[in-house]
Amino acid sequence: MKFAGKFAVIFVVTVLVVVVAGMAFVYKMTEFAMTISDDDVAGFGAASVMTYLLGMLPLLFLTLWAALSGRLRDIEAPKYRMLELNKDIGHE
Amino acid sequence: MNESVVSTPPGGRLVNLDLVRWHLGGSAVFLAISIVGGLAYSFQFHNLYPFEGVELLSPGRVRMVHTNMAAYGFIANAFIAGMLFAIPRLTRQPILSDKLGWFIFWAWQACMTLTILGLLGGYAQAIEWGETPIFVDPLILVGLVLLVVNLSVPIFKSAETGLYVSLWYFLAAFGWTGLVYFMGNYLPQFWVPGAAGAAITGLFIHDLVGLFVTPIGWGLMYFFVPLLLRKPIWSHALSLIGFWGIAFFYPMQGVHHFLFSPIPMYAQYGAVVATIAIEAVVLTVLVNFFGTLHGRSDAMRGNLAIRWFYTGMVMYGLTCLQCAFQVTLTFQKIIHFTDWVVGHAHMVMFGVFGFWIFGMFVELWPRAVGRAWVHPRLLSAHYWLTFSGLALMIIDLTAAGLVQGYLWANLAPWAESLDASAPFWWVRSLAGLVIISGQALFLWELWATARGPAAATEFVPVGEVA
Amino acid sequence: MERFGASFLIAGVLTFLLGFFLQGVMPILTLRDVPIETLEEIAKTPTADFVQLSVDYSAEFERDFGEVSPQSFAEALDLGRDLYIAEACWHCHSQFVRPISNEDIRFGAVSTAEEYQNEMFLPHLFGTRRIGPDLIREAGKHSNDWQMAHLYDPRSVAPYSIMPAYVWYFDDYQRPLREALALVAYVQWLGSWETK
Repeated sequence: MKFAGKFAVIFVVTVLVVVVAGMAFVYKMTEFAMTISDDDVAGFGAASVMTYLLGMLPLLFLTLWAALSGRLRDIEAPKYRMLELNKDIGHE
Repeated sequence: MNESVVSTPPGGRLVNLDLVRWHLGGSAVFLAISIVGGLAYSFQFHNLYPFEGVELLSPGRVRMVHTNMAAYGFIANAFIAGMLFAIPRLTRQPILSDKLGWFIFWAWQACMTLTILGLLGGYAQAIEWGETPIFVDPLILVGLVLLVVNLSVPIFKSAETGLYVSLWYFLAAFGWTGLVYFMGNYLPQFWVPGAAGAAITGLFIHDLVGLFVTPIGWGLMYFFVPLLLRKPIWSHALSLIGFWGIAFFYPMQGVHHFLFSPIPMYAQYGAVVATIAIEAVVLTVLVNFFGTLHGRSDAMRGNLAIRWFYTGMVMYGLTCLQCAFQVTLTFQKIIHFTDWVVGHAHMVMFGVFGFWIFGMFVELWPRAVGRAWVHPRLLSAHYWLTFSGLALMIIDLTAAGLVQGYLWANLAPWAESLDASAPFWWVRSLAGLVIISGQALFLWELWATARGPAAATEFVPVGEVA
Repeated sequence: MERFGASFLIAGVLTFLLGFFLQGVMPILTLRDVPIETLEEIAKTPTADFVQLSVDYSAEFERDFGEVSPQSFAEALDLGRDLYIAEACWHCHSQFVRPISNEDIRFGAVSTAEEYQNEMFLPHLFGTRRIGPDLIREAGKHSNDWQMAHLYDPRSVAPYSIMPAYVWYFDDYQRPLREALALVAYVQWLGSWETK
C-alpha cells in the first residue's frame, strides 16, 4: 500500500476511535454526574470506581515515563528494531 | 539454541528456556484437566454424569475446576512462558532472577493444585472466574506481584530507546492484574454486598479477560506475528492507538454482564455504550494485523503457527462483533442466562486465547525441548479437530441459546425448554469429544517430541508445516 | 511524530482527571447513607418455612439446630448459603428477576436493589446462567418435603430435571443431615420477604 493511503487509513481509524470511544466515555461520565442527587441509585460501587482509577494510575505513570524518556520520539522505530533483535526466528 | 544472534550478557543466557519449557508443560497438564472436567460436566446435561453420587466430584464443583483451570492453569501458564521468551528478546535483558522464576513456577503450580483441591473439597468462592478458594487468593496475589517484578525489571533496565507495543501491553497488564484480582476476589466477598457487589463482580469478569488475558495475548501476537512473517507490523503508531484505546475504555464495561439486574440503570446504559464503542478500538488492532498479513497470506497455509494466530484473530473479530450486538438491551432480553453466553465464552477463552497459545506451542515447544516436532501431521490434525469441534460447539450453543431464550419469554413450561435443549446439548458433547480427541493428539505429540531424538542440527526450524 | 505521542499523553491525563472527579469523588458522596443489614437482623424473625421445617423433620432439626430461634435460623441460613456456594448452585440458578421476557409472570416480582443490601448477599449470588429456574422468589413455592425430595433425587419430583442428586447430604436412611436442612432453610428463605 502506498504511504498516502496508509496514512489516510490510520488517520481515519484514529479519528473514529477518539470520536466513538470518547463519546462513550463522556456519556458515561455525564450519567454519573447527573445521577449524583438521585437517592435511588445510591449503592452503586464507589469501590469499583476507585479500583478503576487505581488501575489507571500505573498506566498514567507508564505513559509519562515513556514520553519523558524519549521513547515516543520515533514512533515507528521499535517495529524494525524488534525484527533486527530476533533474526533467528522465522527463517524461510 | 540461537541466542547468540542477540548479544547475551556475560555468563548467562538471555532466555531461560528451561523455565519456558516447564511453564508450557504446566499449561498442557492443566489444559488436559480442564477439558476432561468440561466434558464430564457436559454429560450431566444428559443425566449421564460419570461420577454420579461422588461428593468430591459433584458436577457443580467440576464445572469450577473446568473454568478456573482454563483461565489460571492453561492460559496463565502459557502466557507466562510466552513472556519469559519475548521480554528478554525485546529488551536484551534477562529476567531479574532465574531462582525467582523457578520459585514462581512451583508456587503457581502449587496454587493451581490447591485450587483444584479446594474447589472439589467445597471451599469455592462465589465470584465467577474467581472461584479460587479464599485461602488461595493471597498466595496467587503474592505470586502475581513476584511475577510482575521478575518480568518488568528487564523492561525498565533495557537500553533500547523505543518501547515496542508488546512491552506497552505487558506493562499495562502488570499494572492491572494484581488490582483486578484483589478487587474481584475481596471487595464483593467482604465489604460490598448485593447490587454494588455485583457491579464489581461484573467488572472483575470483564477485566480478567480485558485487562489480563487480552493485553498479554495481544502483546504476544505483536511479538510473534511480525517475526514469523519476517516483516514489521503494518503501523506501530496504530498499534499504540489500539493500546491506549483498550487501556482507557475497557475498564468501564463490567456491568454489561448484569443487564436488567437491580444494578442502577445508568451504570448499565453506560456499560452498553462503552462496549459498543470499544469495537472501534478492536478495529484498529485487526486492521493492523491484516495489513501486516497483506501480501503474505500464503503463510496461512504454510505456517501452522500463523494459521493458529490468524484463526484466533478472526474469532476475536467475530467475538467483538457479537459483543456489540449481544450487549444491547434488545438482545439481552432473549439471550441472557442462555447457552448463547456459554458459546460466547468458549469462543473467547478457547477460540481466541487458546488458539494463540497453540500457535505459540508450535513455535516455542521445539525450541524449549531442543528437538524438532516428530509428527508435524499430527499438529495439523490437532488444528483441524480443534477448529471444527469448536466451530460446531459455538454454532450449536448460539442456536440453543436463541431457542431457550424464546421459550422462556413465551412462558413455555420449564420442562419444555429442557426438552428443546436436549439435542443441542448432545451436539455440544459431541463437539467436546472432537475437541478432546484433537487435544489428545496434541498432548501425545508434545510428549513424543520431548522424548524424541535430539535434533541433528542446532537450529530447529519451526512453524513450517506441510 | 513526537507531537503525536505528546497529544495522546495529554488526552490520557485529561480523561484520567475527568474520570477521577466524575466517577470517583462524586459517587462516594451519594453512598454515605445506605444501611447494610447484618445476618442477625435478618434472622430476627424466622420464616414460616423454617418453623415448619422443625415440625417436618423434628428429630433431625432438634439434633442439628435445637429449637427455632433467631440464633438457629441465622446458623442455618449461613450454612445453607455456604453450601449453595460450595456446590456452585449459583452457576445454574440465578437470583434476580428481570423486568422483561415475562419473568415477573414466571418467577414473581421484579428484583430491586434494596433487597440485596444485606450480609447474606456478601458475596452476591446473581448468577449469569439459568440451567434451572431462578430462585430469588422460591420461598413457599414448594413444600419443605418437595425441596428435600428434590435435593435427594430431583427426578422423583421433577421427571424432566437434569439437576445432580445431592445424596451426600442425607444419611443411610435417606433422612436429611444438618447440611440438607440448612440448604432447604436457605432456599425457602429466598424471597420470603416478598411473600410475607
